[in-house]
Amino acid sequence: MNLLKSDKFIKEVLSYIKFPFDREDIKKELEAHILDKMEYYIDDRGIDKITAEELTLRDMGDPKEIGIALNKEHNFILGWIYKITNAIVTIFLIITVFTAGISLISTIFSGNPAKHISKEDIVYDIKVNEKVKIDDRVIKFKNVIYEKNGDMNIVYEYYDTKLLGMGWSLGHIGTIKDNLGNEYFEGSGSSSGGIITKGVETMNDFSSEADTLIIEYDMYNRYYKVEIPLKVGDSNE
Amino acid sequence: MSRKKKVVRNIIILIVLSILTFTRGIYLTPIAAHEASERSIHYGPSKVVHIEDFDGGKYILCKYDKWISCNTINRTMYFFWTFGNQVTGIEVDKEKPLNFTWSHSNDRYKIYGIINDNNINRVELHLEDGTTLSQTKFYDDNMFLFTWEGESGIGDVKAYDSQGNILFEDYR
Repeated sequence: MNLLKSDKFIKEVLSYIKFPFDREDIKKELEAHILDKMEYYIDDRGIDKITAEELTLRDMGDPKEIGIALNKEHNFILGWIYKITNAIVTIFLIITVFTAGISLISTIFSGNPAKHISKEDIVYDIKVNEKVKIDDRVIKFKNVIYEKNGDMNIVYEYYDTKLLGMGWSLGHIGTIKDNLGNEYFEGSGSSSGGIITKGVETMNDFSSEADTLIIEYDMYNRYYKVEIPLKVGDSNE
Repeated sequence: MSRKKKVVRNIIILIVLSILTFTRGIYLTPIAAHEASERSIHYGPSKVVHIEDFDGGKYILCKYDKWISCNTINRTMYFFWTFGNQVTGIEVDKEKPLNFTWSHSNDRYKIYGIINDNNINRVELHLEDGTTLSQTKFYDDNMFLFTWEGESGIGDVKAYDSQGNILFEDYR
């Protein structure tokens, strides 16, 4: 400010402010206030600069009293709580945005898990819409797609009602059987990540004579059974 | 906005973000992480039999119905806990004097099991480098756990009765 008395005055006021992060703001506020007041004395009252400064500082009052009052207003403890919570909020926001962003991106870009099956190879594609729940996981069986080469594809998706996609992935949709008593090995499968995981399980050499596909999950005291009616035969409808 | 109001706003944001964060794989306690891990993999809730520390986490030895397991829970971000591995375990075969299984990850080994033959009062684990680990005091349900770090794998597991007779042995 280049006004020695004012600088000294401000310095003394600031010496009573315990919360260091507020000192700069208070300094700027006091400087502005002093300059405004001095401007009034110089411009409106025609008083010289040195006298104007003295009068201004007299008007301002005792720097000790001002300092103590301002320190009360800019509470030290509240100031630190504010600073600390600000820092924690920032850290949490970064973590949340990062983790939620990854899940969201995976969900958006996961697409149709059965897109690799060409239309010409499909004997039938049945919409299922069967929903089961184990613990916090909801599994929806969406389609069963039977191919000319005997491959049976089960298209499904699942999500976790609690963990928003952050838990373990579903390792096993269940044992795959048909109404003829055949049990099928889960030949291949793939699934995306994300909040909603989409997947497909493919069983080779699935019987074209079977009229029901059975998905039975029986592990660690969890159980579900889904029976899906099929179209018998090899015709492409 | 006054500073008091800003602090209240921050606390509300923190509560909301905490709920979001701590239901997304990060937990305040190892037991909370363990329980969520089990539920997420559709196993348990198991009874915690013993907890053992390792550098960076905890082994949680458990029994659930006819299965035994030893879940690994990892420390993350200094104060928090998250899923490790090997949540589920093995089914107990009471026909055998002893059931055990093992796993290793990042040079950390664990071998755990359950004693079905009440005559067994000592289980010995011999490592490939000649080291012998022994357990005579078993945890609840007669369960045992050996953990070690290093490159030496499992040699064999032997169980003895009070007379020193071998009641079980298994060579890896």
